[in-house]
Amino acid sequence: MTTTQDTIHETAAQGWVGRGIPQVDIEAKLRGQTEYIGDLRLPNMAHAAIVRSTVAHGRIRGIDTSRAERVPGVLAVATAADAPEVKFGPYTPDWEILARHKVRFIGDEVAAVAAIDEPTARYAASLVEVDVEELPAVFDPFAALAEGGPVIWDEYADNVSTLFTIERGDTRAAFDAADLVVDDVYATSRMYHAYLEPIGVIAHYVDGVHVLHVPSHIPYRARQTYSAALGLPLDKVRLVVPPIGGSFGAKYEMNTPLIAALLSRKAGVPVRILFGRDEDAAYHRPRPPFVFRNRIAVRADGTFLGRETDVVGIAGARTYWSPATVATAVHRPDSLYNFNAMTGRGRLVYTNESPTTAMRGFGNAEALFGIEQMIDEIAERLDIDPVEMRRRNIVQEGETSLHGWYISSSQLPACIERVSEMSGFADRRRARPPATAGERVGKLRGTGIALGHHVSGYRPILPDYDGSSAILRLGPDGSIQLYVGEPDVGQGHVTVMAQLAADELGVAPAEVKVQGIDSAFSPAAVGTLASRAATMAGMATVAAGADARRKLIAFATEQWGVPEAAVSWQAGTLTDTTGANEPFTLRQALHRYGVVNCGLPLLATGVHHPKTVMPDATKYGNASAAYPFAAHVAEVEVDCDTGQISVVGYWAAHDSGTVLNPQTARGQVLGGIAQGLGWALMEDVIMSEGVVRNPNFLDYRIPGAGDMPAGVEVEFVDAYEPNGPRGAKSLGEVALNPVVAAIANAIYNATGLRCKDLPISPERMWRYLHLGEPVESSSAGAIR
Amino acid sequence: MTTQTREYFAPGSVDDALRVLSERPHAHLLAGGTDLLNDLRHGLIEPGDVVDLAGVAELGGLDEAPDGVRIGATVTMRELLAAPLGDRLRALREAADLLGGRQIQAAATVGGNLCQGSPAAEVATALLAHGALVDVAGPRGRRTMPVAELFAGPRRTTLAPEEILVAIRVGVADAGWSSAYRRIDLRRSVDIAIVSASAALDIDAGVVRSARVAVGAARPVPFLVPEAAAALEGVAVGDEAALAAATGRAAEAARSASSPITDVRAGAEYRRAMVGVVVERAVRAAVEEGR
Repeated sequence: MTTTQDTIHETAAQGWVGRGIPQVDIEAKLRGQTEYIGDLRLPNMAHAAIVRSTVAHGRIRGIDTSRAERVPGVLAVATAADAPEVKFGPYTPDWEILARHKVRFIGDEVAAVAAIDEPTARYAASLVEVDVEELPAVFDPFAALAEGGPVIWDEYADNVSTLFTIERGDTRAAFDAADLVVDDVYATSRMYHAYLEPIGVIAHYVDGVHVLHVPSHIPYRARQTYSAALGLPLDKVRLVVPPIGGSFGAKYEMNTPLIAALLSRKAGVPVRILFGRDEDAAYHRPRPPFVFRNRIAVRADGTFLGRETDVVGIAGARTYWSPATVATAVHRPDSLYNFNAMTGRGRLVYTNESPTTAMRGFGNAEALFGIEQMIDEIAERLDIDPVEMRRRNIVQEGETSLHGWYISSSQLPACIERVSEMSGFADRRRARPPATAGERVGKLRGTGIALGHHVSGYRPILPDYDGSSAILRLGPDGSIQLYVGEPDVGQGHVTVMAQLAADELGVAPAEVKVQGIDSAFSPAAVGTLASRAATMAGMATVAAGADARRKLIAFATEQWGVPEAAVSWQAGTLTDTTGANEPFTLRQALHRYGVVNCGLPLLATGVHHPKTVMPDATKYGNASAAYPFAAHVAEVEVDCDTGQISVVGYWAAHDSGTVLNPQTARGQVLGGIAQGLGWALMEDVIMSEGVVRNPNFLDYRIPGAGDMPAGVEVEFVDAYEPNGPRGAKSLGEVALNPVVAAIANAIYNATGLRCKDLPISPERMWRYLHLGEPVESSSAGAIR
Repeated sequence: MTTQTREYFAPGSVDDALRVLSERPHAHLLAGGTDLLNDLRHGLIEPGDVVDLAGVAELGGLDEAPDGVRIGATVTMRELLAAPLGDRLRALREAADLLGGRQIQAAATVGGNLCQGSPAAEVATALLAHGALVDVAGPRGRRTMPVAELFAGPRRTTLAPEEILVAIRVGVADAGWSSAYRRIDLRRSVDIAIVSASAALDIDAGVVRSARVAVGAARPVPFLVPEAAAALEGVAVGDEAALAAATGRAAEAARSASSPITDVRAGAEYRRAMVGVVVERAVRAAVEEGR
């Protein structure tokens, strides 16, 4: 540790940053007083129901809404005829507010009804007659890639929504020089975000402006999308963001808010669309399933020489965030391990299924599921300790990774060391996994390790800019309001922003009111995604705090008529060091400021420009401000009679730089572990012929308290990130990224069976154990 | 969909309830509501009249009488778990403890779980293993039958539309038995069984004198497996080799008696294999308890 860092740690210990204070909004949430979208009521608000396609693929011949329109209580019925004839979307213009010429998946939105109450809307929706000429549909990505199959979008005759390719170094030479080449296929599953709060929106068309109350984690980008879809300038769409009940990447709804907007304009009253859990679970936009083929070239001493990767991801029928997810899946692992040379291809494929979107981990967690297992396999084949194997190949602090990503801080070696110690990895791990069926009896325990990393923001998200801005409004009444554009989605950003601002202003976090986002007065922003909010909005908040201090000092200087150097600021108090004037508390200074300026609040602003660059045409360039790291160890117990797998121990060591709030940080890690455990062992959106077969929490199982191991150990290693607020960097996604692989590696250590498909359900495990089925991904044949 | 009902009745006695049913035989009986309200909400059953049984005192209460234990049909899982039953009815209590979560257990009733007719109903295999009888009231008076005769198929019972399940009785002869309930599920928190089994053993002087083995979720109805019971009878539980052999035969008998389905939760092949595992585990647990 350098002296600078020690100084900063000392300061942190004295202030609010670094303290595990409870989330500032937690009491209202626990008491049920927080007003989520489902709690909001606007005067004369109508309720809407969506008419969805019941066929997976077809040409719309006609839509008859006349019977629905005649139902008493119906206020408006909308179809594509009510929408501008534009296509839109964050990457690919394949979105429509309501399907116009074709339906492309079961659940595709065709029409919508607004009525005085929900039952009336639903009843009327059931009377809308959609005449569809059914077309052949395709649900398997490899069938969609094959020639001569159904074409979902005429513009994409090969059903490839996006092709991503990348090449770095001489991969062929690497493979020629290799002592060992491993070549394997891994596949990840379709996952439901399973947020507490289903999708909801209230739209209100008033004075020519669409006011959309949307719990969006990317409000500015959403506003761009919505205004483009409505064919309106940006200022004719106002986004108001209520508290968000969980997102995990899902709360950037492409067309539901727009459907509500069309209905509100037509009905002349506010219109709410609120999914019940059944509708949400049946028609949500899940995590895209992926198939990965990876080849890794290794030297006998365990050094990676090169990597080839081929990735196929499912877009569903329209393109959401999935192109970026595919790109991430192809090339992000190269900033965790130094593969030295790589060639990658990613194809995002259309199918007649609900569009897939971003989810925590964003392709990286998916990629690591395979790569972290392949590293274990390499270690075993070369007889190298798996911990040592990783240590030897990780990208280190101060290095620039293969694609130009500069690792400004990394305590990953410390994470590896700590998690090994915490878990007693060497002693706990089975020296040799069972090699024969005869050894696979009773209950077997095994231990596995996996590493993870991620970004703290990602430059390409918004072409216009990266970074963030913040406004502090310090009122004559002493009130402090902070406006940032990055919403809290439940993880506690409101609290850490309050802590950061509190330290800058010398007040308690409870005195800083972090305002909800409203495009009418909040700064525009990239949003809360790519694990960027704490780092980016945090930096902007600190800058706004510094600006407020500068302005207060300048004001005191002017008021007291002393040289600026004579004014000192300490812990929220302005002092005239000449002794000629009484000190100002912050409150007194703000009152005085208001009096002098006829009521004006003191407005301070902060702008943060991160040191990121837009990657060039070859995808080279430092795309993120900072990179967080983690090392996880899982211990499992496999019941060989039933195939049931219990995670019986879990240890996580993280480098997120300075920990702004240990309590919320620990919560993030525990949540990541639970979510990863569910993904590894039980979560799977089961689809057949385009229909979700398990649209409820009975059959879409997420882990409950009983599934989590007792006494999960989480530790944050001593670390400092120069490009983050007070030395902090991100945590949200890296908390999930190693989990699935750590569990899978533990299962291998317990059973000697490598599981390459998700989830590793009891039945799947039992089949591997008892039916001698090849433990190869079911997609292996298709991608090879 | 919102829950819609036509008319709501709150009878104060079994006779009052029967009178309502005689006029409205297709009315829904509401006990804990944990199945009924969900079924209405998801459109699995048609909205109709509702007869709320909460006010019928005779349907409640759990009593230990000289002739055995009587469990009122509307006794909730939590009431059952709180009852001072000592070592008795362990399989039933284990089943109740695994049914749903705490909130569900506070509302769900023993009679409701039986009358829902689910092949996976938690209390069903337990009551089969306990050799329970059910008391039924109808327009032509009262009748009593073995619980096995109640089940007719998925979501169906043998009760006539105008009949009501009044109580479940377990005979005093069962008093010295040891028992256990086990299920195979997909997670450790709230779940329903992939398959389940209950075993009840009358162990006297270290020898299984009599046994009952019941299996759930492996046929259209929960069922007793007499061959499994027969395999266990006469076995000295202290003789590990003999016990293992007998348990294996019981498991095999249960597997043979099963005709499970494939659905979104599990495949038939896995279910059938798990019947063997769960029967062995239930038997082993009952033996442990009986030691």
